Amino acid sequence: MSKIPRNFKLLEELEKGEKGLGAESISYGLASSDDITMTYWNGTILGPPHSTHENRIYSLHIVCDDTYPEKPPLVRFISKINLPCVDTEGKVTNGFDILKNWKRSYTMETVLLELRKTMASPSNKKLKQPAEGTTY
Amino acid sequence: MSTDKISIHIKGSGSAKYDFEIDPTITVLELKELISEPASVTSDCQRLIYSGKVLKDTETIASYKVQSGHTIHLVKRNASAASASAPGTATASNTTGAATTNTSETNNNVPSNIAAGVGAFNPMADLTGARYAGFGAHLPQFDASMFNDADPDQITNMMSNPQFQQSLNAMLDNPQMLDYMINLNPQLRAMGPQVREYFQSPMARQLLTNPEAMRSMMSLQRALGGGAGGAGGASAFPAPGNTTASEDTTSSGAQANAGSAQANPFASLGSLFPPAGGFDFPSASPAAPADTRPPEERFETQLGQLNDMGFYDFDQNVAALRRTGGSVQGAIEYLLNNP
Repeated sequence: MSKIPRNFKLLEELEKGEKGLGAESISYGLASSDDITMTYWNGTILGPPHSTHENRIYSLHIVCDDTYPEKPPLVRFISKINLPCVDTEGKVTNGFDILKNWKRSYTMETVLLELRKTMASPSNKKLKQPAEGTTY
Repeated sequence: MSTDKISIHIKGSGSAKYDFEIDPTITVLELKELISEPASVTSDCQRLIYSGKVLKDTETIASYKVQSGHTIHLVKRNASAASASAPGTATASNTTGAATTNTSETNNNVPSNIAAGVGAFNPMADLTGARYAGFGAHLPQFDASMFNDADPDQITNMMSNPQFQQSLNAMLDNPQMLDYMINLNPQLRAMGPQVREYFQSPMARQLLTNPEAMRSMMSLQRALGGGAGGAGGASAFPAPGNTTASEDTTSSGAQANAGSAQANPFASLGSLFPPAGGFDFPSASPAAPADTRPPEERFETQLGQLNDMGFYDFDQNVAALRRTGGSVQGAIEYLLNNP
């Protein structure tokens, strides 16, 4: 099977993000709509219910450099969050399974949904979180 | 100066979806006011998200480069599940049954037809909200009678289900929930504060969550013969709640109650759940703890498959999956027949 080139894949993701075709609990889009290289993205995750994240909105920066989608994107939280896979600067570390075992078929949506699932996991959902609205 | 209007979609939680024709020069706040009427959410309770950005009230729609045909996500700020997620507040006062606090009153999801006098804290309130509406039909019946009549194997199976275990543990962890359940049951209420202690003791928890212990107890109970066995079982069974039971030896009536509560946790657990008539959703209310994950998590793999096949409408996909209990094949059939 032929590989989808980076730009086509990102264009597809952009359309999906803007038209809201994916899951409703997350959202993503280009940080600046004149970024023709489609490198810098914003993402939000709506905190999963029945966890300390409930009703919070987490903002993230996603960087899809030239190596995307061969290599995973760089994902960094802007909103402060307490999660094992997020370091002290908000960066999602390689300990996060999706980034560690990255597959070409994954998308930014995969990453955001997987992060949201991690937030809701039994071991993380009760973690004490920094005050809402604080940023890195 | 006239600007071309653009059409945008507002996507709320669940199946809520609103279409607007707007002038992109209006501010976000003005858009929120437009939304507030059909969505019946006041503008200060709305949060709008577009392209991974939370929209600020003072900015214009145009500044976010929203294009015609694009979708803005609407998130309600109101703490719709606050009662379930705020344990550890106002515990002791609830045991008295005084319906004073208003956890449920501030909650928009509470339908007015919940039986009155259930008490201030109603953890089931959320479950009757519209977003769980679809659950009733598909979840197994799980009311009090099940504990008394059901086939022991079935119950043991259920007990071994990690999800059930988890929710049971969470329930026992939450003093409010315990109080609420104790309050619902006059028998338990009459026994006073030690019931609470009992349910919170590690012993009781182990008993309630250990399928093996359950099984042996149930066979014991059967051997001893029905309801009478409940009380008798207390002495035969290596008393699980020794500490609490011994305090009660003077009052024989309470002792029998306490005895059966200890010997047969199902009886007490069963009666702990609200009586079926009390709620509009008798089957949904106790059953929902079994799976309260949002649909995108429950059906994650299935939704992914549907997406891959070109079914992009999230809400329809979820609706179809719910109908078919998570079967992708069935969902496709449904989606094709009901475009």
